[in-house]
Amino acid sequence: MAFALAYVALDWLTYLHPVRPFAATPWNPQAALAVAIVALAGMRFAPAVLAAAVLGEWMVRAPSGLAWGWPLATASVAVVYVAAGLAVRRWRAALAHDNLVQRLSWLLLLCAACAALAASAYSGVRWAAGDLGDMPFAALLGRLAIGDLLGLVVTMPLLLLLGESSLAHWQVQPFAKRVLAREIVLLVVSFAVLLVLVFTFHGFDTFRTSYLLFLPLVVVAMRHGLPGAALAAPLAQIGLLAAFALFPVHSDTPFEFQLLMLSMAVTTLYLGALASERAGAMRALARRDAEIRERQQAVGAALRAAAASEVAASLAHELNQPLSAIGTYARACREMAADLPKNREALGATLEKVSRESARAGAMVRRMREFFRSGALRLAPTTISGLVAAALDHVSDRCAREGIELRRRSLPTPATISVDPVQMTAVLVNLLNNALDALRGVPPVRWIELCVSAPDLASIRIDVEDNGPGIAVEVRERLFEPFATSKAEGMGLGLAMSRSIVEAHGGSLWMDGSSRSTRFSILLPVHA
Amino acid sequence: MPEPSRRPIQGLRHVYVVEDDAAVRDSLVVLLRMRACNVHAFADAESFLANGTLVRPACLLLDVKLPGMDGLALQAKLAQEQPALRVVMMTGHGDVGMARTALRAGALDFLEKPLDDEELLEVVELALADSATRLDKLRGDEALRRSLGRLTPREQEVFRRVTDGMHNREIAQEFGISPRTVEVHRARLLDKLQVDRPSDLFRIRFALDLDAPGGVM
Repeated sequence: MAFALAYVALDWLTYLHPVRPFAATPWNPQAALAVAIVALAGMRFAPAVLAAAVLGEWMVRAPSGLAWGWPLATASVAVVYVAAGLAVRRWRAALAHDNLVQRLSWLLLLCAACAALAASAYSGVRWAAGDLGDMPFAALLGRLAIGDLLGLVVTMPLLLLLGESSLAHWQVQPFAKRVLAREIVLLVVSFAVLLVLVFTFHGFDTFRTSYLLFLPLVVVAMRHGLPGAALAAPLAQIGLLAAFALFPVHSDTPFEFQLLMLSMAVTTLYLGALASERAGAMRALARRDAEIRERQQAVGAALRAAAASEVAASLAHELNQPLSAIGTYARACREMAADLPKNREALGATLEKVSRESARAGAMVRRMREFFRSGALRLAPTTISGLVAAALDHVSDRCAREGIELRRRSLPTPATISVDPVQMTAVLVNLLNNALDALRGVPPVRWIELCVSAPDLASIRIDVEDNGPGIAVEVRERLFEPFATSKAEGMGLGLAMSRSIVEAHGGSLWMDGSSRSTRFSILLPVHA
Repeated sequence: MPEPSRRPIQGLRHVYVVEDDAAVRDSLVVLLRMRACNVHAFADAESFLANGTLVRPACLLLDVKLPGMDGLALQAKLAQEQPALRVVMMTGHGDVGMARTALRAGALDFLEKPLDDEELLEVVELALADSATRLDKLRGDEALRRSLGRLTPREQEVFRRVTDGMHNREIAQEFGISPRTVEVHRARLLDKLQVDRPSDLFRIRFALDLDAPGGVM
């Protein structure tokens, strides 16, 4: 019932510039209403469409001619609308949801077919009934077809979007709402001003300046996509019709204006569809980016957890040494105490060893705590020479024991760098230990070289190079992946962890090698 | 059978320590010296091996994880070359697989760090005693082998057959000699091997496992 009322109301509202004697109006949005309601709700609205069409024809146009001509013609038009509605309904389900341009093209094609068929049916029946009189058949057909087409093209997208409540999903950021309101006002005003301009400064030709009307519509379509375009197109039509009704125009211009309206609507809708697709693609891209970032963070967290457990295990192992020594010393002290006068001196010396070992265990625990606490980067201005010295300190004993020459080369660099000293030292120690492991079983001369340089003012480069046998190609590909290892012990987290630490500093860690040497390089920004 | 030379253990309590952690090594030295042991400590397997001839009987406290040659490799090598040396392994992380490998290769025990002092001292005493026993047995076996080597070929054949459980009559028949001659051989066997009863001959044969490759016969 509401539908029938709306249909008749629309028919009546747009009953402008009718072309007598059949009152073909330049814009028939009620056709779109009929097609859309069937497309959205299905066959059950077919009787309503039929009733509304006949009612509208009788009430709005007060038809003349044979008694059976106009009801039959109107009924056949209604049948075409219903068929078109069903076609839209089927096709909407079949097409890909994200390809808006394709969907729009199909819709426009269907609108054209529907308009052509409806106009043919109506004028055919009226012609058969002999109602045409002296009016050429083709003229009626043309007028009707373009009026329907315009109505369908301009209104259908909006009705369909309303029907599937896409407009409700047309997300507007809360902070953007005021901006949006201003924008709408601005666009409406500018369109109205342009309309007045176009219709008053026409001189000889109204259409000389009509292209100006495209501008606000293009802006709307680009900024708000298909929903914006679908809303703007009918509003623009209403504006045009209003202008058309207000300003005196040449008698044959309605047809030309129909073409203008049509091209405006089609252009706006296509631009809107493209803009929507682009926005959708950007959103999908941003979503994927966010997903990737999230995954990387998860991997980083897992790496940290795994590394922490490895560190815990190695700490437990290391703590065993001083604890074991303390226990054994303590037993010795007990036995010394049994014969105190004789062992007084030895007892003192041994007790001193006990406290030394307990200090050693304490230092280990502190180091461990430091490691866990520094889960997040704690950047501090750090002298480069201090950083390198701390790292070399960790391996100098082992180098001496295994007869490996430890070279250090420094080119001029800034004196300090902003890093987390604990973590960065760990990275350097890891690289040095890897180099030491690689040199196991290599005949002399064996060397490791640590070189610090500054490729430019803003970055520091540290290279750790050894003359070991190099890294097998198959290992090399997976070198920085967690759990990739060529060693019998260790979990292979060293390089993966090191790289994640360096990257957290905004730097990079990579490897290149030849048959004669292997080099790992770290590039760090001076100010992370 | 010669009486094994039961020298007093006290003066001969030699303990070797191979351990790369200086503090652990030193603490073992201090404690074991309190227990009147002669402690020889080394930081790695290589310097232990370079030390030359081992004093016997002795016990070796060996860390599994060592720079260079690791503890398990050293133990495998010593099991072949030093049967009288008793090895006690020490490790920082109790690894069942590692312990099994060590015990199969003949380690006396497997101690986990941090070391339990009571357990440590107990195991060292046990190892020293066992090493002495082993050494005695090795020396006794050595003496017996030498005695067996002094038998004539015919006496050796008679020894084997007697310990196979054959009667004098059967042996005489096999060699085509009189049972009386067999009895003479037997008497000289007992004399040369310094045993009183014929049953001791069986003990000697099985003690030395003469049928194994490398046996005298």
